[in-house]
Amino acid sequence: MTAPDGRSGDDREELNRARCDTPDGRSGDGRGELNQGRRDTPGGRVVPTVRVQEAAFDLAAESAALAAGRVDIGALASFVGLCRADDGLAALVLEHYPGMTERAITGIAEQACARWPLTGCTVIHRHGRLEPGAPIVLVLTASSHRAAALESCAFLIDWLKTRAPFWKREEFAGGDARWVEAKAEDDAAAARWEPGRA
Amino acid sequence: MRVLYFAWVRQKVGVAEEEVSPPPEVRDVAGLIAWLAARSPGHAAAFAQARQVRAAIDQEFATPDAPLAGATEIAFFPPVTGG
Repeated sequence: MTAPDGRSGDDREELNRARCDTPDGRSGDGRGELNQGRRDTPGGRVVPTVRVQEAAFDLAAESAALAAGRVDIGALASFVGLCRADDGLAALVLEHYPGMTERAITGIAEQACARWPLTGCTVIHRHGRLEPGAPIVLVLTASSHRAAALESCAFLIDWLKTRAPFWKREEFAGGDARWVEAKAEDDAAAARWEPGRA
Repeated sequence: MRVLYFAWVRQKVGVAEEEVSPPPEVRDVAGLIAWLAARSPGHAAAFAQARQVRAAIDQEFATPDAPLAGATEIAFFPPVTGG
């Protein structure tokens, strides 16, 4: 869903301010620096929802939860990463670094909220054994307008891939297993969001 | 300090974590890698290509020249592959 084009930026800021989930007393950790020269962030920043879990998630239910009772969201973007059955893959096993994982994802999500005028943000990343077809990661971003929702959603998944401490191990039907290697194209995709590059 | 290992670094070292007390001349991440590599053949294998190993100090990514002073938890792992 996209907001009608006629709405002014002033309206948007007012709506964001009205949605004041701003955490108290958080500033000066470098996010302001990243935000310089991009766009004004409204006074009220949303608090992202971050979950690291073994259980599956439901895109429709998470989208509904994010938008429930809200009339300020004009655009809701989503990304779902799924387990592919490449080369006879039987399962992906995702290892992670409990504690650092939640910290890293929260930090990335807070950057998204600082760089774009978001009115909602949810990131869910699974770990454990996942079979082909299973959802692995969910990113939801909400804003008044589509550009902020779409861009921040792309930013989040690009940075999650290169900055969240997960490691994928591929298990194959014959019993072979191997660790997935980091890809140069993922680094390149993440680098385009570096300050001064995007 | 507590040292954690993940993914193939953990498999090669043979343990997921251990308590270590490096000597005072071990001051940064690169120094710790060199010191740990001498502990066992498994450690040596894990750190044989140190450029492929990433580190975190107290759950924040750290470069090889990052100082260890005050650190309580150091983690070593391959480049991340989540998402």
